[in-house]
Amino acid sequence: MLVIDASSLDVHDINTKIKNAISKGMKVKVRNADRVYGIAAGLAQGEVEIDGDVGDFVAMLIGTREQKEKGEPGPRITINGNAGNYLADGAWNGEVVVKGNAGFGVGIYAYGGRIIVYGSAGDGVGQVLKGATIIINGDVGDEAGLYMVGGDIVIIGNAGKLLGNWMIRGRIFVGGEYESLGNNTREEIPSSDEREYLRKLLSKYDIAFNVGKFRKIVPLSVRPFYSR
Amino acid sequence: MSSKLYSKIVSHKYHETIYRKAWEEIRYKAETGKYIVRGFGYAGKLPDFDDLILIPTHGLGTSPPVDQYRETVDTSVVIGKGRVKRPLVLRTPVIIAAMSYGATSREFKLACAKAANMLGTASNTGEGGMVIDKEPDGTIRWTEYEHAKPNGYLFVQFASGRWGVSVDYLLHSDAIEIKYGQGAKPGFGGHLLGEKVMSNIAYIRGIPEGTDCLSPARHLDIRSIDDLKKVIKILRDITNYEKPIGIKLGPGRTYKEVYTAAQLDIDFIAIDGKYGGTGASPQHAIQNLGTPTIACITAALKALKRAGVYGQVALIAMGGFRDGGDVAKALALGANAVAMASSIEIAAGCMLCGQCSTGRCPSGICTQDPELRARIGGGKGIEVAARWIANYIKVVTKEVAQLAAACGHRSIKEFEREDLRALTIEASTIAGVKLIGLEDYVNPSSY
Repeated sequence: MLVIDASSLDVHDINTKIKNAISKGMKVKVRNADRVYGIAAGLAQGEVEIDGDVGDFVAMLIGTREQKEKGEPGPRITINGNAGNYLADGAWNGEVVVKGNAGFGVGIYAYGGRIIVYGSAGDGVGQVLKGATIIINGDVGDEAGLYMVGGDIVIIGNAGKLLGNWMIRGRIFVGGEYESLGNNTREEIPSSDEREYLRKLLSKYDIAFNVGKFRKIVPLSVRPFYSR
Repeated sequence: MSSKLYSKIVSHKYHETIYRKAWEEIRYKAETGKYIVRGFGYAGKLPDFDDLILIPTHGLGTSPPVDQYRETVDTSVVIGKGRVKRPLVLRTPVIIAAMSYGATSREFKLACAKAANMLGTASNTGEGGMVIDKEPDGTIRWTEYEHAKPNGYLFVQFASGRWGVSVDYLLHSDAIEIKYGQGAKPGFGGHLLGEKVMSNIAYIRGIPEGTDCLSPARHLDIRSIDDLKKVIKILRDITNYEKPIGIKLGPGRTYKEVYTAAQLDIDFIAIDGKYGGTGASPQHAIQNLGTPTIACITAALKALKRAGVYGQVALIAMGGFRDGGDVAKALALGANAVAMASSIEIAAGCMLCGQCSTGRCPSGICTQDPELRARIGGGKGIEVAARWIANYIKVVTKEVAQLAAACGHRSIKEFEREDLRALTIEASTIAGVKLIGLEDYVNPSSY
């Protein structure tokens, strides 16, 4: 395993070291990364563990389109601390696990892969989400799922204002309360198949929750824009 | 009141009011409850390149004209020189501007890439992702990029919807353009109506078929200059500092925005003026938001100079370029290159029928309908459309070279403001160009 002390390195130095180590089949651990952004951005494969907190844009654009379409595994990134803003921004494939909390825009624009935050997340979870699965074990802030066109957002705790605002497709499952629903949303009861899917998904990540409590938020209209 | 002429007079006067022209639009809005969404660009006359004229030299206290039939004029442009590992070395100042796959057809996008290869210039994916194909084993072929090779280049756009943006997309490119806006609808983000989101577009963009595709008005993960700096640095990292990275702006508060952008680590700024086109925009945006192209270039130039990066950060002008005269005038105003979209579509067969936003383009350009797409190149295919585009740009380049020669230049890089005069007081003031005849600036502080 390669251990990188990120305290005096910039994003390109760190990511070059990570890619070189992974190309040799090594796992990577990064320390002292709380001031660094963009760690593991664009990573296509391999395992990276980050000890402590980390900055913005971690795991941006991880995984490749080709890999996702072929069903091949992507990279795995574990953060044993808190993550900054835009975690796994635009990800295509792989798995990102945060043991602590995450900031604004978890999984923003993400096409695929899974993003799991064991703590709580800020505003803007899964905005313009296209196909990734996001699990937040705690609460989320406002406007989660804005303009989402696909994928799943699973919120175990409570959500803030305008949940699913102007969502076009995709699903949001919320276990707790929400302050308000966004425009173009409708609340439904998840089907038994969906509850089973959620049960399996959560058990994979050792999250104990009564899936019978989930409510589902879906788009009201699939064409909410233009000359409305 | 008894005269028969009365009603005639009144009727004529009514028809001369400003409401006569607006009548149809008002009734449309009243009957449908909808605003108008349409393609193409600004309808009307703004101060533009027709208001400027190039003045040739005779060699009497001025540099002698270059003999355009015997001598050559260098038309090359380099973007990212001394800044990135793989700068773009273009053989012409004319680039094919961003037009998205989705707004336009696969055949048109591939014709543009092919034309870029034929000419040694660049095409641009636009914001809808790249035209790709899948091999039977699932391997992706980056078809649009391949069509631009070996002599051409492909810009990929990184816009607020991030449609089709992946690491492999960024790596199959020659330059990255971070899109902030476009001439037809600055401040409005992007629109692709569900009618045009057929299966392949849905696949490329990663959205369900028939979905209206909305690019938000701003990047949702760039909420500050600090975020933008981080994104640029990450894109540099992902592409290993090989490719030029730049920002495309619509015609907004150009001076301030370019000045801010110029202080970031970028290699080019592309600025789209008010004549810039669109596949689909709300008409009130097309007609009411923005700045004329000649004003954009002047304001951008001032900002780049004040930031101390003019000549290092390339300025690409867009919006309303039709011929070598327009291009030469933009270069004289201070642009390093221009990018064309509407004229490229016309070269490829556009008949200005106004169906862009509906997807019923009869020329196979702004459509996803397989039958209409088959009409590309007059029904003769991508090769023919590519040749039309290449012929057109070749002629425009020749025109630019000949105009440069007449102004005494051996390279298009020698164009300067002194080559220009304004034909109107407005253009003189807006573009900061001396007024013809007066031989001075109308407003010396304008430049």
